[in-house]
Amino acid sequence: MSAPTHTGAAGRPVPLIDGIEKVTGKAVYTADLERGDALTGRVLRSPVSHGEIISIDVTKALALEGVRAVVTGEDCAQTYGVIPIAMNEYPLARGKVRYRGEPIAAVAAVDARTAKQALDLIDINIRELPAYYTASDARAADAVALHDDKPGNVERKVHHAFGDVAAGFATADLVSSSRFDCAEVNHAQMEPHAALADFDAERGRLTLQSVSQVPYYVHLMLARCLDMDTSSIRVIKPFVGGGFGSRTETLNFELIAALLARQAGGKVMVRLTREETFVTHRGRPDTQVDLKLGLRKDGRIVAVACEVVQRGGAYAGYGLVTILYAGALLHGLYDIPAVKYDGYRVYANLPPCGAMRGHGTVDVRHAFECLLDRMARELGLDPFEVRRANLLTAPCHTPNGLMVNSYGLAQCLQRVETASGWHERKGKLPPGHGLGMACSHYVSGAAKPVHWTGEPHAVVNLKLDFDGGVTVLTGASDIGQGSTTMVAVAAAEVLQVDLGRIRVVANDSAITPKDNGSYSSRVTFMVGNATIEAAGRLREMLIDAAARKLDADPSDIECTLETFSVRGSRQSILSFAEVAQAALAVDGTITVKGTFTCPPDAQGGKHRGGAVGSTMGFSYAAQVVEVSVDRETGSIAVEKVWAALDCGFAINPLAVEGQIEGSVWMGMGQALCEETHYAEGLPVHANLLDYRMPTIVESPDIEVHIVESNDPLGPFGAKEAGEGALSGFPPALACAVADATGLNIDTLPLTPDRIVEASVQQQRAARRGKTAR
Amino acid sequence: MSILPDFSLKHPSTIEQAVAAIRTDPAGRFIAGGTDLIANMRRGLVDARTLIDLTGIMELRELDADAKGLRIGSAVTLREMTGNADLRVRYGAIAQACEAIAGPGHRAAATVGGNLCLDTRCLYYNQSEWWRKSNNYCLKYKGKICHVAPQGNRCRAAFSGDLAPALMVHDAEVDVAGPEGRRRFALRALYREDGADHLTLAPGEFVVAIHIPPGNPSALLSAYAKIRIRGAIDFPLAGVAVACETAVCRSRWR
Ligand SMILES: Cc1cc2nc3c(=O)[nH]c(=O)nc-3n(C[C@H](O)[C@H](O)[C@H](O)COP(=O)(O)OP(=O)(O)OC[C@H]3O[C@@H](n4cnc5c(N)ncnc54)[C@H](O)[C@@H]3O)c2cc1C
Ligand code: SF4
Repeated sequence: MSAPTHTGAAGRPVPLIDGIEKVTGKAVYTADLERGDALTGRVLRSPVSHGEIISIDVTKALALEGVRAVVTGEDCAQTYGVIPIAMNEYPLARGKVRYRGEPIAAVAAVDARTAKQALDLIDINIRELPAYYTASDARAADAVALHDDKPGNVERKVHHAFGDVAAGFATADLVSSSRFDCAEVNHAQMEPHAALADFDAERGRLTLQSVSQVPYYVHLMLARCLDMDTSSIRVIKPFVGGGFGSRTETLNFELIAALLARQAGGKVMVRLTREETFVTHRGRPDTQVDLKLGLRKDGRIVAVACEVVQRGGAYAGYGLVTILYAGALLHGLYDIPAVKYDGYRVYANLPPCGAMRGHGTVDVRHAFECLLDRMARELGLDPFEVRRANLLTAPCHTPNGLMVNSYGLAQCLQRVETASGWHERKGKLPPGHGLGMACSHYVSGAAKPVHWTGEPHAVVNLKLDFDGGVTVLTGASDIGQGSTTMVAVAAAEVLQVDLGRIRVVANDSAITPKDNGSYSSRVTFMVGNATIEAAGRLREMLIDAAARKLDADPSDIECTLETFSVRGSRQSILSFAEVAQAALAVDGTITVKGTFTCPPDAQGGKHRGGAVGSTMGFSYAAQVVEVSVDRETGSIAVEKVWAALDCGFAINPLAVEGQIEGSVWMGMGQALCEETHYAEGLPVHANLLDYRMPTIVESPDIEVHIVESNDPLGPFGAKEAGEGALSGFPPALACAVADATGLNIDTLPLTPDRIVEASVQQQRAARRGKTAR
Repeated sequence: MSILPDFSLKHPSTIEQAVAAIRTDPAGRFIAGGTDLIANMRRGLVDARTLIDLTGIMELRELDADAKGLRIGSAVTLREMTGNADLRVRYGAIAQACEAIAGPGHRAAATVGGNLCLDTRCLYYNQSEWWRKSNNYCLKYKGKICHVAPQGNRCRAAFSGDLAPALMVHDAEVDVAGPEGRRRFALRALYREDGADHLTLAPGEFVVAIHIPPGNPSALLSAYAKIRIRGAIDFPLAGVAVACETAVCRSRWR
């Protein structure tokens, strides 16, 4: 790709083009689609954690006046799931239930009251089995298997070793290890789950509207579970109120809505409660990281050994990808010659985990950066210098085969080091105050999609018609991250037209081209490139038309800011409308297409699981966190955050800034207060009061620095911006707490009780130390 | 969202009408801001078929500070409380407690009376019907055992209102009305140590107002602080109100 010049829309801060609808309340979300003409769908959920279904009797429910459909596991014998080799979930439980809250049956009725009554009339008989709520209980020798094909309840083991790890540790001046326990967290997106299914009984066609980040995968799973032809299905994504990974796979309520609609021969709205939304889960698993690092006196990391155990919940979901990511992304941030990784993804009788912002890497990055910081202190090294001693040199491939083409980490470090006044202030803050820093990275889209078809990774269509408007048709799912705006800006930039001339139509399988979905931060890179290609084709056609009109050679035509002219001549300037007219005169309405395919050398190592972690480009981030800690109450106040992110090029700096702030903020939630809690498998936290996300009161001043390393393959040089800065926050915070208090805490989140407990332990140890002397 | 059960809503505009309403329907419940009650109703924790809205009674909406002391109508909202300059200066603990309750949106509706009569809270209780049923309920509501202390026979659900301690350090009294007439007693006597039945109000009684006696020396300097996991919209893990009388405050305020 030749380096384009950014004279138009790209690189300028623009508010999201769909922001007006959102802030004025006009945006129609899935739950708003109900206009009084749909049946109400409700789900009956398992009261037990693990059990064999003896019987489900729905006769009384079916007989109730106003009930139009009742479905159970009998109605769908097909599994679904996001990973083709690991689909082991049914829309409604069959044979066994494996977590409390798992759907068992569902009803569609004329109103919510009747639906609730109908649920109460369903008799279920379940023989309880032993249930496991921790990875270690589930792995115990005598534990009953949740899934027959996975004895020992380990869904996936990963054993990867790159470089000579033993030799590496032998050359280290300091070898340290520690165990980190990171609690399970949930996306807690604003919008609860909802789906509206409409079955046209005469034609045998289904339309589903849902909160999905991956309408294409939902489409495939609907076809599979309802045994329908994909051509009879249409999937539409309305406005979505947040994803963060909670909707990156087909979810049971989407399939249930469709099953109900088909049985009722009509329209069914399923709106989940906040509790049900939490029970559907797919968050970041409870993770135990055993990490060992070898460091030389000069700060070089010479070897890494890491064991990760993830409590994945009752079904596979994204599990094997998560456990592979956790190991793969030990690479790609620093230059590390030898890395050994052992990962265990474990089943337990809890809601299934899934992908969550920073998929797979966050807890491992936390452990890594925390331990590195402690070791740097022990060796008397500055944490910034330790990072600088381990920088990669782009372009390169890491030992596990990840391609690194652009690398702005050094600039990120420099920016936050200076901005935070690190050297002037570190160690000189008042008591109880501290500074910490950490680095992180993330992929710009998985180079190999989970569902491999051989098709391009992204396709974008563009239409120019009589009205002079340019319509971009894309399957990219805007879930609040701003992809629609990104697509519009990219098209406007290439076409050199006003942003207002571009209209984006997204996410209707009947209209827009297929897109794999919004996950792994793939959209800007892949859909952005496809948009540039499509817009480039249209631009060529316009230039040809202008050349004909101006009687010049196309190579002499200059196109800037809605005008076309012959280079160097000021005489005849054509407006966009005139040129568009001329172009349309040739063959009528113009539609063009652009695609993007990841090059093979971006697709990771040849080892088993080597595709996970592979990407066209990594974003890089460094951040400094300043805290004050009240040891008496254990409360932490985040005073200020300096975050720098290398996103290659900021196509829309305003959106990039928002994404960095959002990442920092979400990392802050996980670091300070967010965690799920279960009482024998019942979610104690399943509301926004008990699942404590930070509020604006805790939100610190976040100073954002955008670093642009211009990735050679990225659209205008861009890479991802939505995830990379997240995983650096928790360790930077923990390091700041350590700086403020001397407490090295190995658990997340750092809630007041954990701080007080650690503080008491520290005082006890100090007293013991004194008496021993 | 879980649906609300059916109920009818009464709007008395005088204390007498409210008393008459509860007399007609003794199983009815009073509602003020509804920020606690409605959430509990959605979770199936409230049986009442009739709700009696107290916020239309003007006498309950008055907030007066004069020679007779401070009188806070039970339907005064927390936002009105935090917006009152006199309160901020002379009754620091009360103003600070109000400000520390829930979030700004809640405080616009939430009332003083509702806060004082707030239901007790417990992780096993503040859950949906499906949740509690799956857990065989508990002795506070519909069940036989306590999951917090399975050996015991008493509910330990905690009263988590922020305002009561702040009012108590100012020697507050409550003024209540009910089918048996009106009475006034010390606020601390409103509570008893039983999570399943923590209020000493007689059947049909409701809080009309809070009184803080005039010239009470402890009104001179007071403060409230709470510990919570996050800095807003969080009930207290612990809340402490303190009032103190010092020569300095005396000279400052008299
Ligand atoms: C997300 C969230 C966070 C919260 N955080 C806090 C917090 O930090 N601190 C805190 O203290 N509270 C908190 N609350 C609880 C509640 O919002 C407040 O306590 C509020 O003051 C209750 O007042 P209300 O008028 O809304 O009460 P309502 O919901 O109307 O009533 C509460 C109870 O009191 C009874 N009642 C109401 N008025 C009277 C009266 N005059 N006489 C007798 N009985 C009466 C009702 O029957 C009901 O049982 C929170 C609530 C939510 C939803
Ligand atoms: S009885 Fe009270 S303390 Fe025990 S579980 Fe129920 S609400 Fe909680």
